Amino acid sequence: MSANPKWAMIIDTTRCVGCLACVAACHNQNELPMTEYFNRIEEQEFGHFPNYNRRFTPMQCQHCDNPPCVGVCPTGASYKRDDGIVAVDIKKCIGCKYCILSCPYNARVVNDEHGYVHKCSFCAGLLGKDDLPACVGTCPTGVRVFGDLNDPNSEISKLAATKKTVQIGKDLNTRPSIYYIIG
Amino acid sequence: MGNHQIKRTQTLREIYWNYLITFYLFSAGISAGAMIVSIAADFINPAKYVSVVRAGAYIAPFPIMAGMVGLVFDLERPWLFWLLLTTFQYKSIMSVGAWIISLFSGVSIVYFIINLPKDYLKLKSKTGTVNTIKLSGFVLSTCVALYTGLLLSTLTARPLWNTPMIPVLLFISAIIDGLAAISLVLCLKRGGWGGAPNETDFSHSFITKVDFTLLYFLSLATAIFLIGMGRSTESAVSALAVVTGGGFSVSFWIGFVAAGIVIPFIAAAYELFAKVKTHKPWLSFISATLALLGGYIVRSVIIDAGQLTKTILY
Amino acid sequence: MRAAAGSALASGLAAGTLSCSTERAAGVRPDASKIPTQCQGCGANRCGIYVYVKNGRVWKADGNPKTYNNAGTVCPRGHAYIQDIYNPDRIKQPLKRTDKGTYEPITWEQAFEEISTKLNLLIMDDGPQSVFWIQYPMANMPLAFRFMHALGSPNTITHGATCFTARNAAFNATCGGLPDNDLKNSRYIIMVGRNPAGGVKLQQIRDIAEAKRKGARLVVLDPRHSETAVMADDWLAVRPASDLAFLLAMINVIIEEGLYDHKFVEEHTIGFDSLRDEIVTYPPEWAEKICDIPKETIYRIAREFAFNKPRALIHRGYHGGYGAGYLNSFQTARAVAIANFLIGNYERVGGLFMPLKPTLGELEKGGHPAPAIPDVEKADGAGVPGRYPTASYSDGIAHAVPELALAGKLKAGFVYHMNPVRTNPNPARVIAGYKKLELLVTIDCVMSETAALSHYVLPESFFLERDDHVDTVHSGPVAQLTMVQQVVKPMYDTKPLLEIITGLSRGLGIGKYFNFTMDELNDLRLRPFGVTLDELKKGGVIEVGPRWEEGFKPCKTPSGKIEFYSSQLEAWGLDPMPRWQEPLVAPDSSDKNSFRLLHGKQAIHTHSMTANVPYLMELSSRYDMIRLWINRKRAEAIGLKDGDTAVVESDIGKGTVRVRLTDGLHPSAVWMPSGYGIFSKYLTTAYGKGINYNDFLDTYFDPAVGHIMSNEIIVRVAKA
Ligand code: SF4
Ligand code: SF4
Ligand code: SF4
Repeated sequence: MSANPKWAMIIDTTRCVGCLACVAACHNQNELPMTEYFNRIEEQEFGHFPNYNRRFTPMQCQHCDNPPCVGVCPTGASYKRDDGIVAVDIKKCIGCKYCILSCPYNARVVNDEHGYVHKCSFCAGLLGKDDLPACVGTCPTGVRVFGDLNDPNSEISKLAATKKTVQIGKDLNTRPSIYYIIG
Repeated sequence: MGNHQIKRTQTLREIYWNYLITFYLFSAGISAGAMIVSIAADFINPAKYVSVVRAGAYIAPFPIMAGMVGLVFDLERPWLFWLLLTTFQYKSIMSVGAWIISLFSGVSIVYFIINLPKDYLKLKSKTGTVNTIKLSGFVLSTCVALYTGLLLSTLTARPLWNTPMIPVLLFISAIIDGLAAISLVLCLKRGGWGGAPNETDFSHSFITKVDFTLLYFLSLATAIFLIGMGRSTESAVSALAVVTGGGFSVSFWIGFVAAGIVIPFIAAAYELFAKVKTHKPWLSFISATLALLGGYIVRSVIIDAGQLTKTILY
Repeated sequence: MRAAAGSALASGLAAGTLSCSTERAAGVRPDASKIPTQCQGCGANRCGIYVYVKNGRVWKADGNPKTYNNAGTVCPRGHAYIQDIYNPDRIKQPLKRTDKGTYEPITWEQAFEEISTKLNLLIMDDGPQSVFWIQYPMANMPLAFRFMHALGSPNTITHGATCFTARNAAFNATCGGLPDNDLKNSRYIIMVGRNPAGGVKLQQIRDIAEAKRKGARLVVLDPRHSETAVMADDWLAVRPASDLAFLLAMINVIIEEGLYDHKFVEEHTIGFDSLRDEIVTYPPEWAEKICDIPKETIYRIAREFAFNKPRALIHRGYHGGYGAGYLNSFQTARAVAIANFLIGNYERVGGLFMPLKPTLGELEKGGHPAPAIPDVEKADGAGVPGRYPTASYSDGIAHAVPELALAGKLKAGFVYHMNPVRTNPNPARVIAGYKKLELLVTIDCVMSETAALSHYVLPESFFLERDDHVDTVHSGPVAQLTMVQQVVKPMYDTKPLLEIITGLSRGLGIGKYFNFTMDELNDLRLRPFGVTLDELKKGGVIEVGPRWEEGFKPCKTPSGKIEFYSSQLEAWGLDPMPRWQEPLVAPDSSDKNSFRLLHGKQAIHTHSMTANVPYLMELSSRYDMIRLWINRKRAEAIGLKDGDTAVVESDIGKGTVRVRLTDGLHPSAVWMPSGYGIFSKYLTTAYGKGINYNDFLDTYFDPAVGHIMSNEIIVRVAKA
């Protein structure tokens, strides 16, 4: 970990089997109500029998470097931290849902009980203690690689340098911190 | 046959902003529109169009106040609405808008008062102050009318909204709605506030001319919007399809295009070209009601369909 | 939302003061404690996990990085199942069935007394062999053996015959045991119907992913594009029930082209010559007409497989494909074993190897003599020549129980951690059978379908509320010990299995066999390894014994070698070598509504056990997973659109289910996820959601192994 980390994730969709372990792990980690979630798996099918394939794409907050959700927030509840994590200060959130509508990744949800908006925080509370985000640690196929892009020796920095990755929705100028290997 | 592809995803909720937001945008439009029309009429000929000026001034403060109540109750945490006004987030259209609307409300109330027959504020003689109020009222109402569209058009996540034509459409529509509101008031208050016996006829013909022009521009803007979206990205095309061909098509074509544009336009054209000189309240009433209906419906369609359709990312 | 907003006013304000930001809420709270235990979310893998407890409440689970089966990861069921401790449907005290069919709470004392009195009478009348015990095989299965043997009954049964016995029997016949797959080091992996990403085995998908990163190729032979196939280089959409044809053709190519490991075959196998003589009948040109895989592909796969020898393998399989699926499953599994061993991958890195299973210490060593194994044949005929000779003695034949009950051969039974009424074929028949029993006792945490038929229901403590047996399930290239360790205090008046059995044993006059505590038992189990129970409880896993090493070790077959040709099978009147065998049934190709019904697991469900876990069921509906898969073209031909409701009907049953249209399924089959169709009204989350393949399956017994042949179902599918 570098002195001023920049957290990021690489998601290798070619290894995602859609098992939903990451979804369930996130659910417990963040003590979410049953129907709310921070991450999800999208499925695509290609081709005609028997020339056919599927792809599972894990989706969650992309921790954009240019986060529309932060820009639109009228109270400053949504903010971007120096380490790249986009966070919500739920004390300031009035529940206008503008950020939800502004997010191209559909990453934000309303907490039904209290009315604030919340979302993936890269498990910020776990970081910096040699702990990984819950979804990363539980993935059986190692789809998710998490780490500090400012640390040249981190696994993610090395992977980012050697693998071809894409940022989803790049042309929306969001500059996501999640990079995908599409295969 | 091409490459066959299916995508399966989940969405927690589709609609986050409901009719309260539609109502909020609609009422803000009426207020801003009424104010703009009133001040414009005042600049052109305050004596001749005194009824337009006054009706507009009397309308302006109120719809937006109701709209604000709607907005507050659309919040998931309405009891925290005051947080909106404890900060100024210059990047957030909503934050900027909240401040503009607050200022607008203040100015519109002052404008309302100075247009009352009695000079409560003792301003009649201070032309400079009054002109400042009118000018700032004009600027603020323009901002409010623009705000309702910009609030939507700046979201790249929503292809239906993310087009510069949305603020144009909503701006023109706001003025038409303000005009329609004024027209309705004049149908109810026969004779208006003018001294001359034919004052309502003057006011009415002013309204008709402006209405005709604006409806003409609204239809152009709508056409440009439809053509532009239809020839845009996959996201835009599929978003548009939901509006023009999907579950919203009846609302859009009948509610907005027919009732909100075509019929009022024909009515205005008839009055203009048939050289109808006298005010026919029944005709104005129908035409104005339809215009308002169209104004509400187009916002409702845009708000709902805009939320149902998302930018296709991959 | 609106309604909630108003009422949430007060609580919302309170929440604002409690936690200030999302990231705080997401963090580990300092007061959370972390206790190692073993997951019971599926029963099969029993992954090593840490369970976190916060303010006295179970919070979350993390994988134990050291355990073989999961290595730090946890599947969705594991995450969700820990929360099931709070499921309102749990049984809170012993229950007794009333005459009206309802249940009344009773004390443990009353339960023990009444059950043992009734059982004593039955044993007096019908003998102890009329009693059976059926359970999912877990670390505490030896207790069941002990209990049944003490009573004098040989009838301990697992779910095996409904799951994997054909595979086990075939590997036993070929190499004398069930090997494991060294996927991680393999360069060429073929999965025949096996889908570890759905029927989750975390270590296997992890290793496949790792092998792929190192450049391995993955071939998935499966009528359905399984979740494992997502990672595959080749998906071969085989016609269901014809995997055997594909494998025979592969063997044909490997032998005909001389691609096998000559030295290995010569030194360590018997029967190669007979195999070579016969296999000429099965060239790819023959197979392609049966299995729908083009001959060029079969040639290519066989060659690629052999070229990568010995670091190539065909996964040993589990349920899918040939665990217990078809009439030809036993021979299919034999062909899998033979194709593997022809390339000499036995006990090789990157091939198949015999897992190291540590031998646990025994109770006898602590002065607790074991009861003698009763000298009677098992009622179900498992392992009995002339009946089901290749069936496993310790697994028995689960779905024979209702038949034996109806025939009056079984009178009383204990069902533990299993739900045969839902998981055995033809529910009407199973219900009739289990109802016929004069005494049925179910030990479970919830009112399963079987519990809801029982005379007595005894609530076991949830796994987080009890200690259980030291376990050897994490045995692969290294032997590991793990255990279920208590994490929180029991919430209700429940007991761990040992206490339940001990309680029963007293009134049955076999108390002397159950005069030890769980700690004493575990101490004895650990004794041979020089490890203490405390050490195990602290770390959650302990590695014991040497690591696996490459190199041939004599097989536990009669010849001590790999048996391509099995004289033992011949002596039992079975095919000594795999030969093509038609499946029992086939869909009517002239009827556009006729399909074979296949089934399989989704990663979020275990058998019938997790459908009632609210969060998992929430995932099922959020991801719209309670659907029947059907080939898109065939569905369109019968007027079905994606998401439509279809009627499915076989000779046995009828039901409705929504369909998922896909190009990822062989046209001759429909595929049903297997975890749904709960009909016990006591399971409030799961009740009435979805249907189950058992509703359509007739009761069959494979003539050699006795397995259920769970894919021998023809259904008619039509638009509802
Ligand atoms: S845990 Fe890994 S493999 Fe499973 S769905 Fe999540 S990212 Fe995909
Ligand atoms: S993904 Fe959405 S919520 Fe996350 S930072 Fe980007 S815009 Fe904001
Ligand atoms: S990083 Fe944490 S909060 Fe974000 S999706 Fe993963 S588990 Fe959930």
